Amino acid sequence: MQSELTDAELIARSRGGDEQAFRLIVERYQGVVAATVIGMLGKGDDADDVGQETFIRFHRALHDFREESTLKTYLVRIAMNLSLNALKRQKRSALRFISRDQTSMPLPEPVVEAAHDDEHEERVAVVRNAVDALGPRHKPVVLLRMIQKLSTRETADALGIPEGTVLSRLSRAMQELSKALAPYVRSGALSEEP
Amino acid sequence: MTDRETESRVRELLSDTYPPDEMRFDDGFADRVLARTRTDAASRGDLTAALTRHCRRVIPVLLAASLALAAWNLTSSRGNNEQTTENYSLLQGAEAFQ
Repeated sequence: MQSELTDAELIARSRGGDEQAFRLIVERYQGVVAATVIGMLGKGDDADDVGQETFIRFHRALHDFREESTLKTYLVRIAMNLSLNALKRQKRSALRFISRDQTSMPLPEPVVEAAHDDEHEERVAVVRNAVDALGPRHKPVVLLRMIQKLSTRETADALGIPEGTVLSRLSRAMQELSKALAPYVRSGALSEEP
Repeated sequence: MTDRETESRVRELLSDTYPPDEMRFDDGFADRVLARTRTDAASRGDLTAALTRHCRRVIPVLLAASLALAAWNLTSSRGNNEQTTENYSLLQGAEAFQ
């Protein structure tokens, strides 16, 4: 089957039970869904499960899809909602094992003077923790707008919020990230690497 | 350092932490999805068939029970109406005029 078929054509064929057409939709959009769920949950089985579930939900809703939004933002919206649900479940199960006085876990203190590999790993961990600490309102905006490079409009559509809200949340999130990552921002850690 | 420079540094850190080549599923993802959609469709088909079978068995029984209840209700309400009229007449002392 030709892969230059439009989304609308693939959807129409999938509605008619054409499995190959649905496979092409999965192959076309698995990248953007992967970036969403891995960004939210980290790489692993949970992310793979949520990714699969995203396409299964879409498959069930094929006949209800009205094409009011693009397929890309529609799938990102499903993936984001499922990821947020998975995060809530993870948080609940983690809290069962953490005593009440240990529920707020501070970010690890960044140490800039370390060996190169260790330094890189540590910086990645610190940045991930800082992004995770943004919470369920700001993290999705940063992920879609700054990491996946979706437009403000696409981000707003995927999250079901106005564009103005995307901009204000992004601004707030960037302030928080600048503060949390201040040692790396000031030292220009990346630009000094060989 | 200006706000623009700070934001640019944060962008660099984010790009370095979330590189596009790491943000992808393991090979065979589409196969796994299609396998699950087949299972999902089959289980939904099974559920629909089971519900249909169940309805076919239960609906005639429920219908018969409803009809029987309605018939019983109709006959018993006639008796009740007569009894109620009698009691009402007694209360009003209607006997005295008979």
